[in-house]
Amino acid sequence: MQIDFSTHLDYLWALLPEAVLSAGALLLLMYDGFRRKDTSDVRSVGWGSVAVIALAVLANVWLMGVEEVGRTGMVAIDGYRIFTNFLFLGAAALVVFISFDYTVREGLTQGEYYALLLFAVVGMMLLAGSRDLILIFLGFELMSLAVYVLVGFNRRDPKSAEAALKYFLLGAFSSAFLLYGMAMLFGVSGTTNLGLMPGLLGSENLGLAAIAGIALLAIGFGFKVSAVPFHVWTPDAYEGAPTPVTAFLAAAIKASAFAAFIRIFVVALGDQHEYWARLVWVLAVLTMVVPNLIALVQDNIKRLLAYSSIAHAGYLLVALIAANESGMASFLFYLVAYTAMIVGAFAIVLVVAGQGDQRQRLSDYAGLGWSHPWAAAVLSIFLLSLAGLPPTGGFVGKFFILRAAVEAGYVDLAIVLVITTLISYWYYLRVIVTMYMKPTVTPIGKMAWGGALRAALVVCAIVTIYLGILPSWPLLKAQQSVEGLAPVAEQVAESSPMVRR
Amino acid sequence: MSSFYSTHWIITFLVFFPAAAGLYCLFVPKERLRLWAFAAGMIEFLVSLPLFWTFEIGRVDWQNYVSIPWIPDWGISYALGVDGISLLLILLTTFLLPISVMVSWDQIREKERAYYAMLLLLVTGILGVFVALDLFLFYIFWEITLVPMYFLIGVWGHERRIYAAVKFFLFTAFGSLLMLVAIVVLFRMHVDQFGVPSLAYADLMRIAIPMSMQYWMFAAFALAFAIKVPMFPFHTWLPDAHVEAPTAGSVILAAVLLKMGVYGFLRFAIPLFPKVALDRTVLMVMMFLALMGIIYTAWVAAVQPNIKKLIAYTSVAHLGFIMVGTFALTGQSVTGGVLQMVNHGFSTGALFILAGFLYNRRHSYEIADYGGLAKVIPVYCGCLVVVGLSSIGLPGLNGFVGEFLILVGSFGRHPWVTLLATTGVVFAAYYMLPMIRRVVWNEVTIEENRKLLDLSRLEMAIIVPLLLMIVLMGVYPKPFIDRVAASAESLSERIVLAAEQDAGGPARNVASTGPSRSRPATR
Repeated sequence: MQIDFSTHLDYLWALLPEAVLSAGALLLLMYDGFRRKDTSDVRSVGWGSVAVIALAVLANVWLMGVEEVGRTGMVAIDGYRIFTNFLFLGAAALVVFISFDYTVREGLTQGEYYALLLFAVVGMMLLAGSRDLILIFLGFELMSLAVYVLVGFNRRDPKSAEAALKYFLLGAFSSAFLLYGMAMLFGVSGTTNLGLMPGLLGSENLGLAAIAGIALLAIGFGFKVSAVPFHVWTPDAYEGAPTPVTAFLAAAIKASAFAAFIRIFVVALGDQHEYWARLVWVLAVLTMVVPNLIALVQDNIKRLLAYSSIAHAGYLLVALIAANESGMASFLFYLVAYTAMIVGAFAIVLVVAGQGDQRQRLSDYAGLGWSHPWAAAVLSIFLLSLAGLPPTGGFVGKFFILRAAVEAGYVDLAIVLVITTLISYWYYLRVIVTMYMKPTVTPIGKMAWGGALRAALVVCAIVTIYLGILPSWPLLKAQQSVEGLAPVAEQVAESSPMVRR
Repeated sequence: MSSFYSTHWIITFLVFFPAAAGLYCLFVPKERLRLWAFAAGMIEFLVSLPLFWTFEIGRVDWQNYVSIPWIPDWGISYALGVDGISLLLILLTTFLLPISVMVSWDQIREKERAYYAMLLLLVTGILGVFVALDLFLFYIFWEITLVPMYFLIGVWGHERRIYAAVKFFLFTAFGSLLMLVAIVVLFRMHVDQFGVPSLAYADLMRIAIPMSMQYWMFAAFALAFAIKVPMFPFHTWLPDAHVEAPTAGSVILAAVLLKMGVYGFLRFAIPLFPKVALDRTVLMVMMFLALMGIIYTAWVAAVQPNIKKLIAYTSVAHLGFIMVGTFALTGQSVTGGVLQMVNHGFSTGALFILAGFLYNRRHSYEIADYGGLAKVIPVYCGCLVVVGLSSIGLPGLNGFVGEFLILVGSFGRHPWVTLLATTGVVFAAYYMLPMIRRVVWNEVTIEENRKLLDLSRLEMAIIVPLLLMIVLMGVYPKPFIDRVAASAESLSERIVLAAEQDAGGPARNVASTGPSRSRPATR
């Protein structure tokens, strides 16, 4: 099927996965309003959301066969969007699976939880898949509003409320930056369409307004992807949020913000690379160095992983700044690996924490390796992958990012990356040391796993190892997804009828 | 059968069998665990043994070579091969595996499953390092050895085990991460010059690397390997790791793991950057560090009150010798270096095992806690004396052959260095003999020591094969030298030739512009 955006129906087709998800989420909300209110029944909403996600995956598969005409439609139908869509849907499915028993355990039995999750995914998909600043902003807000609520979903927990408030205030703040930057770019180029922008902006002698616009956009995205020095909300939000939501924040939400970041900066503003490269370079270095140092002294496992996830944003910024095809492909590949390992790690944290999220201190993990060998072994795999040790997906991803950086001539960034990786070994090892080499302080007793969570863990572990041992097929897919993405500028000529309205 | 030993399957089996066996260790019933671990070690050793004879002497190219595409998009393949340099190291590793398992029977009492699993997994990593002929694959195996060793020290070690384990991990990881950057740069250069990505050994040798880059990249490789060797002044992690590790961990660490560093120099760092490796300044620095390793650590070893720490420092000194031979780069000196790696593996392995036997009896590594043992446990003391003498290079025992070859080979090219290195032999006597004197001779001063039992049957079974090898390699080293010599000679010839080649060829000029800061894809 071909889509040229000549009729409005075309947009519906192009947005089929998003439409399916939205409709499904609304239906779930309705169902939730009429269902019996007892704890056991919340599972049915959860399974419903799994079904909706599965349908959206099917729609996305269908989208793979769709061709778009031109490259300036408001909604992109390219490998990049399809790849990220799969990623977000996969991450959402994992998060739903690890939420099943958690929501019951913590008494979060409102079905809205799952509906909000789906709405957030719609926002993410719009964010990564649209080629228009307005739509990107809409996607951001849709995602963020849903996630603000999710972060504060545990109303009885003051920490959760605090996290939500902080996240909301800073999120709104950063949205303002974003919007301001977008407005400036619109003012200079006269378009909000990312496909047209390179041609209209020109790469020579950028005016002050355009540069200010780029800088403001970078700052806004800096907040969203929690780059240092705009990261201060992250540890608090991650610590206070219900653990599955933390996993969701760390994996999918960061990924979607990055996806949009890359689409705007590399694809649309690629010719202005020299203007933003230095700014992002500083962000990247800070984001690699600072959180890795702060993480060294963390005693709360959720905060430790939060800082680790900020550091990973730094590594992804390296892929962004390389701004070449391997940079974008490495970004996609790394995201898959990263999603698997961070969701897996948080899933273990969630189980170990037990009723009321009691055990979150590092000392609670002492002796875990011998009292609960499976939990510790799987968590070790995820930690080693986060640290980037072979044979895990984290290593291949890091190698790919290093390759992209070296190809673009950023050997300095590559060296910063490996040195900060070395620093990060220390705190990942600290967790492993605690689990295997310290005697148990307080016995944990039997842990409540739940079948769904177990399945999610198995998937995460398999993906982590698979990407480390047989990475060639995923690598190929990642590379194919970004082929032809970058040189948008040349193809503006054959633009579609509905471009300039 | 013969095709098994002439194809890569033997190597593939040797590399992955221990990991599979280790995995199985996690599930085998507890009462059969020790036996199974030992059986796995024996199978590994017996299967590897015929390699010694099927190896074609005098052939300089790879034997049992294979190259299967692994990540085709990146030109990365599963490439393995054996030559004279790696052959003996492989056999040394497999020889020590069953011995390490037996050593652990008495010493490791808790968390045994995980212990044997880690021990076997470690062997997979080590063997992989010795046979990998793709830099990516090499790096993966190189890093895989870190985790099991870290656990062996950190979980089953002595009092300050966590400190030692983390120090070991961070020190070695620091070097290898910088090497990773250099590997990526090499990878990029191959794409630039040949249009396709590759990290295969033969392809890497063809890359024309601009001189300015060569120094940095050599530094990155050399740092990784020098930390592993360990060369002075990067050796500080080693005594800690040795003192805290359980006996089998020490044995593997000293006997094989350190050799990975020397092997890395011989296989990658020097052949990839021959000009730098033979550059006067670089050579002087490396020789100086090697000499410092020989002389300084010998002095340090002499004043150690702790047996294991003393042996650890002697390791550094011995590896200093090996490094002299490696960088002298004559056929003889490299042969001697490889031979000495094997000798050191036997001698130091045996020393650590003997120290472990003492520890099992008295729970102390302090030299002052012993004395006059010759009257109480004569057989043990006999073994200790023989092994100690082999370690200081007494003619007739194995240590002499390697050191002699190194010194003879290096003398022609670096007479002064050789002269200074020779003093190391004297110092070796200076630290080893007093230790033996204080442990073995004199009077029994501590009452507890009077009741010590002599070697048990199990302990005899452990130490006798090592003693046999020590004597055999001392009196009849020819078969071992034969297998190493051809590869060592061709390697050193190739490197010297490459270093003397004119630098101003057209290929180099094109390449010397280096990667510029550009964004190829988005333009």
